[in-house]
Amino acid sequence: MVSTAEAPPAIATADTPILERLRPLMLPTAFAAGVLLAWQAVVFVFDYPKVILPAPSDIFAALTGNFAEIWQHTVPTIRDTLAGFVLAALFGVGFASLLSFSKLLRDAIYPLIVVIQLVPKIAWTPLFIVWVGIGWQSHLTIATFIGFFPIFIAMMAGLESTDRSLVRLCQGLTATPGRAFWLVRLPASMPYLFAGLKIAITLAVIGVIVAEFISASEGLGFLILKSAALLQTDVIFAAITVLCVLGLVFYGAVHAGEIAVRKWRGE
Amino acid sequence: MTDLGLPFQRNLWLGIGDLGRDAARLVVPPVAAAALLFGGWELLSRNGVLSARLLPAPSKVFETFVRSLGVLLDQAQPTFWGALAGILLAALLGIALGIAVSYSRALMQAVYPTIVFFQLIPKVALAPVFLLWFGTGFDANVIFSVFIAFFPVVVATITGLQAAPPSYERLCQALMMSRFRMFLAVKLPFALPHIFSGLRIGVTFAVIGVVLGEFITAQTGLGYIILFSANNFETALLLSAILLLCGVGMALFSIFLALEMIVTRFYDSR
Amino acid sequence: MNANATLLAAAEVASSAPSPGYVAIDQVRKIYNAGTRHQVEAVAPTSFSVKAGEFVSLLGPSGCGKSTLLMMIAGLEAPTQGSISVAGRAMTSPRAETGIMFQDPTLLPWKSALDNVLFPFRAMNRPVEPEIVERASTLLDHVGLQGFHGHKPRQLSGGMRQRVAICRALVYEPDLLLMDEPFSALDAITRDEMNLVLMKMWEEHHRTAVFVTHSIREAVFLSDRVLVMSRRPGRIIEDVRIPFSRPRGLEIGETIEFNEICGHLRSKIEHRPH
Repeated sequence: MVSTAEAPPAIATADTPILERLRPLMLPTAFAAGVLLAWQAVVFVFDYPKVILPAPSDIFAALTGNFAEIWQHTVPTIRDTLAGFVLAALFGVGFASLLSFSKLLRDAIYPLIVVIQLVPKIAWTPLFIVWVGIGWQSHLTIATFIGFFPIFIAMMAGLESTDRSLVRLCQGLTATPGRAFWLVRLPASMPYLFAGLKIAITLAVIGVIVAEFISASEGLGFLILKSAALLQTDVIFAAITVLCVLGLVFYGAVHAGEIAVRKWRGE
Repeated sequence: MTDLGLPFQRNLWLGIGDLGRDAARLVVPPVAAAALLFGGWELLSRNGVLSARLLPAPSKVFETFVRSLGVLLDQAQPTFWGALAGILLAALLGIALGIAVSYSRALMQAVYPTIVFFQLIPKVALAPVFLLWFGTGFDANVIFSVFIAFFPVVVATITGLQAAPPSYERLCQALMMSRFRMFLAVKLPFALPHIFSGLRIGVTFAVIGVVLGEFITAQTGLGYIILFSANNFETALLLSAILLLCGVGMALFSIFLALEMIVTRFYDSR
Repeated sequence: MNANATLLAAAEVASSAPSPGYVAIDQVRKIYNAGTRHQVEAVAPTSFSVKAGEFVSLLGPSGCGKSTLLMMIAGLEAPTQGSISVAGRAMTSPRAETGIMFQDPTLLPWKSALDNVLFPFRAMNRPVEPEIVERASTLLDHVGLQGFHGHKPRQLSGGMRQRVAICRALVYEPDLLLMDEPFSALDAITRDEMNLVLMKMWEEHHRTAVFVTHSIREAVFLSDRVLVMSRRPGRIIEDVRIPFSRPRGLEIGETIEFNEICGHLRSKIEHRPH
């Protein structure tokens, strides 16, 4: 592509007034605080029973009151999600790298994977439970399974879209396919990989929770369903709050990795 | 750099003769790979290498599929209609909110982070709450399905409405177009590919929403069949139900693909 | 695919002992998508040769097949018919004795200018000795990039990036330099500067060079010989020797002789009828 003069990115500089700089942060915070307050008020005014809609204060009380139990169920969820995600990344990157060396293999397998990708994969969860059993192994397998596809597809796209002239340059310099892969194609596909990893980490959490819904004796998904059966709605929301924090932390970690890679790439 | 053509001017249709050639080149390797896969699976199942309980042979699955087609089709109805209702409502709400947010800076700053927040958290965890609120029937499944299919549509709409290059907006201002005409003539055509890709993600999410509801309430639908057969180790029935669910997914997907083609053609011919 | 052509070329190299030039192109033809409806003849059967140390430009309208011809000389594309030899050996795959420059600088965005210049050694899996780093730094200094060795491509202007690409093409001291419209994406003023830089580097290192361009003035300014190519399918329709002595400065562009040569070349380039 022809390089064009880049417009300076619209980031706040040091001489922007502090209030102006905090504006993008303040509005959403105010909005969120407003929602929480309104929620509390609605519950108070209309006197909703805690079973239907617990107020934020009830949820906080449930969170602190049942912290030991919630934490006990949080550990397996974190463990299975992270392990599944790491395996998905290894398989996804490895498999895509392998396919990038053979056009025939790519033509044969890539369309099949794209077709499988269209299928609602959550629906396969019971199948994995039949195959792997009802323990953490199946939860991890499901997280790996649904995390694999976005990583694989993003990595394929990254490896395919490597600047053609860079590939030509490597050929012209008589670089072996292996060296061209290691020096150019792999680093060039990093932005794509991270796009895939971000999707995969959120999907891995979802996979583990659904698996815990269906069959488990531990994990936040199990706790949510158990509390639903006992009509402890405040505990459900407390568990969901923990899940939200987990989801954000996981995503933030991948995002931080992406920023580090961008920095390394000189962007 | 001077190429300021509108999108949709992709030259998709090659010559008919080469279409056959290209199709052969594109279709033969994956079909061969699939045949190899299923052939190997069948063979290994018949030799007893793969346990019939865990992974019955494709022929056995097909037999079960045909035998149980009546029940399966019956149970596919609530899943299909639930997911269709889910994605349609999600599309309506999502596109409307996306447009509203794109035209108000304050609304954007307030709402967008909330939307991003919901994109990042595992929304499926809320399924039991929805069932608690809306009962355990068809309606609750649809509402939950709308809830999780809605977000990709909003985000895609907002991204899409920012996709028109600034030069177009300047052109429209120079031509003294009204904001509404500019929306129809420039913003929307640039946004449509994004919106449709958001809808495609939304379709998958809508199906997931309904199936998840069926998993949890376990009363009707393909989700129920899948869970039921898993509990009874009827793997052939389980695979048949997943197969039909794929069919449901593809059917919904094709509806939106067709819609995209119609809209694209409409913009092409203007 | 072109096993026949390869065999023929090998036989020819063996029989006709003193090869006609350092780069010898013999009846080379390129047809894309042969046998389909999309068949396109990019290069009609073409022959020419380049002497060792000569700077030759291929000049022609866009899409005339000049870049294809260059890629075939580089061994990056195989001719449909005919043969190409460089230094007496048939060119069937890329060789380490050729340096290539493309229209865009094709730098690795995550590597510094210096590391980009050293990239050929990494690609060819050769050790990067301290004297090679020294050589790369000297090259960067010579093209006017003192103080930018550690900058990433994003922090450099378009002209500076192309300077890095020139250094990268020269650093492993290839005998043959192949350039595919390397400056066509630059503005006119930067382009003049780059022509001077290239001229200086070429005069210092004195490689054989084949330069593809659609700028008549650029071709005349840089070259010993200019070959004009016809519209597609491309073939050579004019071979003009450029008489100016070296070193050359931009002021030769003001001379009557320079402009007469340009006028002559312009008359030979076929313009698409409107």
